[in-house]
Amino acid sequence: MDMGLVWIAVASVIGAALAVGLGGIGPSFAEGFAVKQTIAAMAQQPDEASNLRSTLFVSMAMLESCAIYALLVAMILIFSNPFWNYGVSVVAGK
Amino acid sequence: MNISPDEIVLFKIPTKLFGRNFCIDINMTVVGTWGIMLFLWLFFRFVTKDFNSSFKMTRLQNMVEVLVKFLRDQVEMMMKRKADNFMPLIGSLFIFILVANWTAILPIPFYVNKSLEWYLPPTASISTTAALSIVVMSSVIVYGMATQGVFGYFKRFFEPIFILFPLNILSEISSFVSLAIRLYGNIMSGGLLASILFVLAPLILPGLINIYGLLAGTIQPYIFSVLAMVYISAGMGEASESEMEELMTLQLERI
Repeated sequence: MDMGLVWIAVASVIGAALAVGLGGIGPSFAEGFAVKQTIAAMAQQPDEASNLRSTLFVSMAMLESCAIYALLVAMILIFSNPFWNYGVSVVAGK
Repeated sequence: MNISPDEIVLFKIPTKLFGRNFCIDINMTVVGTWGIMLFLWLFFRFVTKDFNSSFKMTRLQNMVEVLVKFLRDQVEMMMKRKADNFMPLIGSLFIFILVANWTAILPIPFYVNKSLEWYLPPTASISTTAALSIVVMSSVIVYGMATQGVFGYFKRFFEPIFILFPLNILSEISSFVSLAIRLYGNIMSGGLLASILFVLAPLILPGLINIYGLLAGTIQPYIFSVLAMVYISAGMGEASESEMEELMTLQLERI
């Protein structure tokens, strides 16, 4: 097997792992913070609970989309890496 | 392992367009969307057949009324306008995405080229979610121009200062791209997680992950329609005094 292809594979796997690992940190912190504040607000004003809950869901989904983007990049790196196909075509053309 | 229903081509239709030969792929996304459309049409024809306004209603009528009232309240709460103009769009988006996400647990086999493929929901394909997002984008433009006029709508992009015009356009486009990718990513990642765990621990864990996928599939249409409402009402600008008063009197009448 060509060494160039091996390096592409290694780089994509490590890149995918880093993308999910680091990309998960920010959204998880943010979601925890949002939930914490919402629970505190709900405890203070139980009348507003339904309003707060719907706002929480929307903002959680918006925060979570950051993690989803990281997951998407990782999936592209693993399953449909453009550089992998390029490397295969280069090796096959040699 | 298939991660996108676009890759499962059920059959091909050869066509001729502008003197060239094309093959239209009828893939699982299209077939799934047709199936869901047919189901929804038949279901709501069946439900609305024996509607009555007395207290002796059927269970299905009660269910549909709860759904419509929930959507109507959400539209009025988020947009501060009368819900009648937006209910067809928002309600169709919500119900279609909800049913499409829930069909993810249906085990429907397909035989494609003598190999067994399983059904995947159409919302796990980025083409469906991009199409829905384009629908939202065009309705933002149409509603905005209908209420404020063409110049009034484009004035929004030159605020607070005209230098920011490219940035405003960019943020507008990226909001619709993220609308599509959010729905796609959530549904696709649920299915992918289930299939990976099926390889690792085939007995219990995939079922639990599918239950989580159902929860995400219930929240996502809500998010999608709420964001569509937010974008549409941002495109329409502030509600006028008369519209607010109209809404207030409507809500008072209902009480």
